[in-house]
Amino acid sequence: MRQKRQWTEVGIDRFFEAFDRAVKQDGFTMLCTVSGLDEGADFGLIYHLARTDGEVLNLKTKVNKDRGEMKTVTVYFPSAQIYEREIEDLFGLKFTGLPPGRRYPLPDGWPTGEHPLRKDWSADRLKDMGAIQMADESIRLPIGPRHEISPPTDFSLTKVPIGPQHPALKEPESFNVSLRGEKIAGLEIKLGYNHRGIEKGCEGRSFLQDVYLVERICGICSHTHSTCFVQAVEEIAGLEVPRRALYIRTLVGELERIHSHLLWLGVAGHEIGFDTLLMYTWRDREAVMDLLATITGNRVNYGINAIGGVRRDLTSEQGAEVLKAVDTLVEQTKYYIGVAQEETTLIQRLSGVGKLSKEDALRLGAVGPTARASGVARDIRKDDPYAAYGELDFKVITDDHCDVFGRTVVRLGELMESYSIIRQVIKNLPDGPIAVKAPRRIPVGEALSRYEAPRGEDVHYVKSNGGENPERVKVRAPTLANIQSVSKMLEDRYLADLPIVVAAIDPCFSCTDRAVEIEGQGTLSWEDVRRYGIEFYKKRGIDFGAMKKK
Amino acid sequence: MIWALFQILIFPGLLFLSIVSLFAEFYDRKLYARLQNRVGPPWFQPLADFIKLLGKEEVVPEEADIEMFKLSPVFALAATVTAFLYIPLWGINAAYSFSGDLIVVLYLLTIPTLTFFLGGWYSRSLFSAIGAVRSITQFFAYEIPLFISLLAPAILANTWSLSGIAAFYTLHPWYIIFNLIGFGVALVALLGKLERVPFDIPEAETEIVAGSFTEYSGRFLAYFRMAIDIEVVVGASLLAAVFLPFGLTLPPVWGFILYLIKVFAVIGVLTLFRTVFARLRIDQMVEFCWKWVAPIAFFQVLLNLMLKGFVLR
Repeated sequence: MRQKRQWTEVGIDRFFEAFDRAVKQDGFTMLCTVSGLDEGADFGLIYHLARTDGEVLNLKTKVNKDRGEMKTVTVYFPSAQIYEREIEDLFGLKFTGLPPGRRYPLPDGWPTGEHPLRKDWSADRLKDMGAIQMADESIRLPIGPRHEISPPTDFSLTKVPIGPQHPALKEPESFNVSLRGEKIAGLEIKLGYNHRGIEKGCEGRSFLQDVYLVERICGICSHTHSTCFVQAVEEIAGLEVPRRALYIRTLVGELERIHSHLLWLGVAGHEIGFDTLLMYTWRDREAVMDLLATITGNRVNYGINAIGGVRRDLTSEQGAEVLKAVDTLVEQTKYYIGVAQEETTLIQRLSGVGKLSKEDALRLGAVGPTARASGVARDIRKDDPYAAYGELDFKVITDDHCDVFGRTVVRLGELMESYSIIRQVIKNLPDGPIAVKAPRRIPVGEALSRYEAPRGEDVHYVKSNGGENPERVKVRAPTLANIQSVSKMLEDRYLADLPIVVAAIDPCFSCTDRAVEIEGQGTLSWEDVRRYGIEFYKKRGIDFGAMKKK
Repeated sequence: MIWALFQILIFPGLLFLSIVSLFAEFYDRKLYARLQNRVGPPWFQPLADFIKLLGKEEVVPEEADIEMFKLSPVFALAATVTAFLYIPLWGINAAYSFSGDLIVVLYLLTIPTLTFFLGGWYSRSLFSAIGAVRSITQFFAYEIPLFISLLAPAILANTWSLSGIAAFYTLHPWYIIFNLIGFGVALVALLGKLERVPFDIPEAETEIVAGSFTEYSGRFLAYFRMAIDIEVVVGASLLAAVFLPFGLTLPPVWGFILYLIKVFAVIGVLTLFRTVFARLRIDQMVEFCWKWVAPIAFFQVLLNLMLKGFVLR
């Protein structure tokens, strides 16, 4: 078993005592996530608590299914509510004491009593119900406000729906903004539009297939998820991964960070109407995408990870090519740092916007550049080193601006660190094999793997029951940890700040929503889709046919 | 009568102006693209866009006030084209001129902004309404500096007629130098009027979709876009006529070429601004205009009054 991991199981009656001691005495002040498990007669719950030195306490408990209730831990960690809501939806375990809020991640029209991550559940149940019934208002769950700023009841406010489809958003999610003039008076965030049932999908596939499935959780940080997953599986199987493979993983991971940060810089520019920055950074990002394509064969889902190592070796010519590209990128990044420090309108739009104090960042469990820009020096690469990071020399970039400008500075600084890491990797690349053979069946066990994604800490929990398929795969993407601080950042700000503040956590909603496959509806023909759409609106009192006649 | 119609509809009126405007849009987009390291559109792209939009379905929101919704773009188009007729282009005299036409042109140029407001407001859509309110808020910030900065050269020339201003500066070419501060102010204010980066707040895509124009489609959107294109050329011509009134006595062909150079130079500066700045927030924009732009414009007026009173008697 890996160092820096503790696994403890306590009974439900003594659980809160143990939890309290872990948080208050042993200094486990971060909640990575809460994993739910279906263990027949019981629900298993694992609270993954982390300490700043990288130690992780996995506190397990069991709740009987007949009891079906558990007390929330939001008094310790406000950020826990979204993790608990997720278990509520996917397992049907009720959490008492949660603040009022909207369900997550299943859609509003999801039938009551259907909990997809239970072992006895399959998508066939939806097929039997039929699609029309699912959209029926009568089985809609009551929905309510969800976040810290509750939507006001004042009718002098304008309510603006930003999303699910809106030019500011690159992925579907919804922000209902209440405006007083140009100022934001209330905000309601709704996520879950990208829920694709990947966690359930993983349980029905072999470990090997899952490497490629989790890679498809996200298009930007695909290597993040596949590495995080294989690390967990390798830990369970007790595989000794060759050092050369670790270095190659690190190289791809850092290239991914560079392309993600450059992408972010461009998107941030676009959100504040500075399209020139977008065009410049995305042009430079293309060089990284080409490198990734040369090394791995793909631009987006690299497919370089395998359980036990990597699938492709790095030739010395490729290494030289990487170094050459890095040299140009260093120059370009220096130029962007200059732009960020000098361009007046850019600074006006970024500084003082989206304030998140250090205390709030810690309280709300922010991760990655969002936390580091608030002066929280947390980086999994340093705290809990994986791959080759333990042998490499790099700095954790922090900043004390606590605003969007700080987040920009941190990301630009991290780009420079990534270039240095890549140079070290190429220079010190050890010889040897690139993979060890992995067994088809992974022995019984469980593991928690952490990875510093470009957006922050990515967490995978994997449990094996000794078969070919995993018993449970739980993914906590960084955006889920960060999205909860957005309402805080937007308190008393302007509507114009919303796009950039949301963009500044570098949200990735595909990652966040990942996990319940709806195959039930089958493939609909064009005519059927049309009829379904007409019926759907007729039920809500909107008749397009009548409108046309008018 | 026929000559008047020819002037209004064909040259230098609607048809000619449309062609120049479409070309100006191409020039703006191409320059913007090249500055951003992109290839940019082919020369006929603005015309192709216009024709495509004309052929598209028009969707009018059910809640919208149909008359206002449909009339706004037409008014915008008519006002900008009319304003153009009073501006001296490549000679001292404009197509039409009377004492006080400078004021009329300025008022005609406020009409497009008002139609953006009305069109957006009567769309009865949230994004349009916010865009409309922003349009009018911004209007109060840039309009005064624009008026003041354009009146300053007129004070020096002692006439309220654009043709009169042109005649005066042709006689005293070096006086142009005194108005350079006003030229800078007018350029900034024009950015606000044309709703371009950094002042494209009323149509900030990432916040309110397309502002006032969110609900517009097809023909009406095409008219609005044409009106905005024409407004760019008219605004640039106005600035060229007031602040760059040299070479107006050249023979027609050369004068015409010089006019185009002036207009495209002004548009080029506007494009450059668009490339290097980020969009400001509405509060920052209003603050900037009243704190800096308006006082500088007043300073220009003061300067010209003093010049007139003491130096150039």
